[in-house]
Amino acid sequence: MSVPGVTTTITGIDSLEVLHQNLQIAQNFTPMTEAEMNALRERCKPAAADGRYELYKLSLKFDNPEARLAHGFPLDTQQSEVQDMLGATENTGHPFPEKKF
Amino acid sequence: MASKFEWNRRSFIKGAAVLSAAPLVAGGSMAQQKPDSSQQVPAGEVPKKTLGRTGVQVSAMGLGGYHLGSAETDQAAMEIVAKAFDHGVRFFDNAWEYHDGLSEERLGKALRGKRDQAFVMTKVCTHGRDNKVAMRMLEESLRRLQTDHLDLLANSRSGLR
Repeated sequence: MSVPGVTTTITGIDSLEVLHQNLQIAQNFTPMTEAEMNALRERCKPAAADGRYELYKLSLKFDNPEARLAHGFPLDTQQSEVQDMLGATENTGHPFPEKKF
Repeated sequence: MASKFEWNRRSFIKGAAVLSAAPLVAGGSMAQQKPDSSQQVPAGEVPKKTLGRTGVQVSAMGLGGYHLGSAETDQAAMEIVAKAFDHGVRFFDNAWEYHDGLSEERLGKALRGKRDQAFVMTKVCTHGRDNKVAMRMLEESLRRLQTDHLDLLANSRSGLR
């Protein structure tokens, strides 16, 4: 909510407990200062920098060629991970690949 | 140290949110509002902001649709929406594919009688399939949400024109 340009921060809430916690944060919210933001970035760095909790963003293991094309992401057929991904779609009845490389 | 890295992403973000509210804002207004899991929420509302250049006012906190489908019961989801609404939350996110439609159905039910005061968005995700797929998803979303319009429709490569 302190990030400039963000109008609404969407938060996942599956219980009243989480709702209460989030309302306490959001009500009377005071934006963090730049120094506070930097302190938070530094604190998050060890957990966030190598993406270990976000493998779905980093690894093609969670991806498929059709989704990558639909989102305009590169599909470099020289990459071994991409070759594995393409191989996994063969003989599956899956429509991909129709596109010629 | 090891246990720190066993956090899943959500508990990490929860931790980060608590961090932003408490120890870094020494002496600020947030310092007195240390989040806890009690049932006590101070009276008041979350602030409103103007969405881009639309002139539309939305709440700075939005309620995500996905986790509405994760709530244990329909009743629990109804209570979450009602209480969020009471505290000024007016932005409600959703997507056609969340929980096979359960998220949209729950939100539609929970916003009965309040629809005109809420900003409701959903998403279609047709991934390049033709326009008919996007239109079918949109009709299904509207039906589940019990409304005849959306305030925002996010559209992932639907080809919708």
